Amino acid sequence: MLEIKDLRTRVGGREVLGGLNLTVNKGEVHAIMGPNGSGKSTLAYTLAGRPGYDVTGGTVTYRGNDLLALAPEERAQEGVFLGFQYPVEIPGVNNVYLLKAALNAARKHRGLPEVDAFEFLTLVREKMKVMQMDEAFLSRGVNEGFSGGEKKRNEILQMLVLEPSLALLDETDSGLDIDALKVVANGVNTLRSPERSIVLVTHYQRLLDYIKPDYVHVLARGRIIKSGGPDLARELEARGYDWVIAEAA
Amino acid sequence: MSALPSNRDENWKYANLRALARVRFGDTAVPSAQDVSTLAETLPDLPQGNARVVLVDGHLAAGVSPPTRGVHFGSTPQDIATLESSSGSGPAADRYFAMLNQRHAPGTLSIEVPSGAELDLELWLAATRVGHPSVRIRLGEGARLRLAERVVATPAAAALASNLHLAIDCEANARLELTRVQMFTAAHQHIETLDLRLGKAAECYLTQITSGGHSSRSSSFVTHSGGASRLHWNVAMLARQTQVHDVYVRIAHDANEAHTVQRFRGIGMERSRLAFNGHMQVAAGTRDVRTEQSLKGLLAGGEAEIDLRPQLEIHADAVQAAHGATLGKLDADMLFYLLSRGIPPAQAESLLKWAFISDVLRHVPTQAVRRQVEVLLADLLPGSASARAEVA
Repeated sequence: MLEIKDLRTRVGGREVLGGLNLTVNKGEVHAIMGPNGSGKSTLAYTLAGRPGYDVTGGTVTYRGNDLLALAPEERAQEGVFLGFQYPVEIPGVNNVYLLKAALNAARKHRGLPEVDAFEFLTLVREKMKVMQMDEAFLSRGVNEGFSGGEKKRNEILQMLVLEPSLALLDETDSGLDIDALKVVANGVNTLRSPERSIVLVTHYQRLLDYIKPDYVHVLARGRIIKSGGPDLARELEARGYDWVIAEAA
Repeated sequence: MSALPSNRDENWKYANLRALARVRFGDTAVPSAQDVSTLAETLPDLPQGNARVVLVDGHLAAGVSPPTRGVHFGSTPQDIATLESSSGSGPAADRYFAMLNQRHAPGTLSIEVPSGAELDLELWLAATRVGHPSVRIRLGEGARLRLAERVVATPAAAALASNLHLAIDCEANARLELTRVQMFTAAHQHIETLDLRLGKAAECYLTQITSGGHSSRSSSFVTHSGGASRLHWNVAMLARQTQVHDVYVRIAHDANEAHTVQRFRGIGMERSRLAFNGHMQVAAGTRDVRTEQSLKGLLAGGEAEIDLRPQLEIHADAVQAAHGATLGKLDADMLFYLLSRGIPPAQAESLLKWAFISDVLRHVPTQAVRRQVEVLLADLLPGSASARAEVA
């Protein structure tokens, strides 16, 4: 699904990713953990094509094609979804329109006709039930006036409607209380399938209690310095990152 | 008669006066039957219960203006061009075009809504050559008028100019909902003077959408004269190519507890120029006046220019006055968010422009009118089919 080789990214003139390697196969869930400033969000933004995140070296192959050659919207249309750590508010553009426009853009890219209005609403209502969201959210501006938890639910709702092949979830658990965390995790688990892959960026083990990863990686100073199974996350929770960084030095 | 304004006049710094100076603002010929017939074909069906009146170059087009009680066309009163806000006359140049209108208008459309009565009226201002539409509106005590004003023009005309004078008087407790949609054709130069007086506890909700044309200049003079009156003044403007739109609004708060909310949202694309000069005055001796001013410009073209000028002139102590003016480009974070959802760049930019303008639209008090304006506005933005889908 995704193969990253020696990826180097500069942000604001500073190298943040310095030779990152990662392979994610179909159906796998990978958790990326690491201390603040290690490059976790930079990795997510680089893969999503955010302007200002300049790739200076390395390759990223997604489903056999060069991901870095695609514009951000093309990456999304190809099935890459970024769940934002801080979703922006866009007053004046309502949620339901964004969902429909995004879904239709992906369908058009695949040569499919625009979604039928009735079919679309049925789909959205079904996904909203999973996310325990009130339908009133649909007519509100994108994330406008949403609480932190509501924004994160809305991100996952978008993901469920778009059904991406590769989901990059950047600290989806931050700012969530335990009940909201369960709902969000349930939404993510709903998407799991042998055909999809998920990369979870997180600081904390607690998210991984609800979304069981296949692999856990530690990112520090722009590189993955240790990889392991779910037990690694528990060890990090207990011992912190210093020992891993010391081990890798 | 006062002198023709120049760009050295403070309130006319950004107006496209060079273009206006080339217009020969003389008496207006009676429009041809052909022009009126062509125009009639473009008019949409009239909603049941509504009334319609059409002025072509300032002349009444009687054939497409069904008789309506309280609405008549007659000679131009000699006092209306000299109507001034009572808090001061302002520079004489500000009245130049109103005086010109009085001199050359073929007549004045008078709209009278008696005390306690209600009226829904469409006012179509059509331009085929050079015209001087003159309109006078009076709302009696407790009267209510929903007025939808539309500017249309003969598309094939090589040069068009209209010099509108609109004078409105609202008595106590009257309520005016005025929606102005000005979508000019390429050759159209539009200039207007608006005088508005609000009596005690009168309310006015004005929404204006301006787009297209060659250039426009709008001068408005509002007076809160009766106390506890409310004014919501919402203007959205879109300019493309080398279009120039310039707005000056002076709002005089001459009575206690007067309240004004003013919003301007302007989008400048390509090499266009937009200017909004909002001048709030609070007279000495008044108390508990409230003013809120929010002026925002969006630069969506490499060479576009937007000038925003919020002005507060306060001569009283007990006043709440808030004002803000911001100018910027499309928000990069919002744009990336939409792109990351697979929305193509042109459509994403169109959506953000829509979102920017919708801040004005959401304050149109009548839902049906709001939807009409939304549909019209959706046509103006690139990727309009998508924007229209949002409001459909």
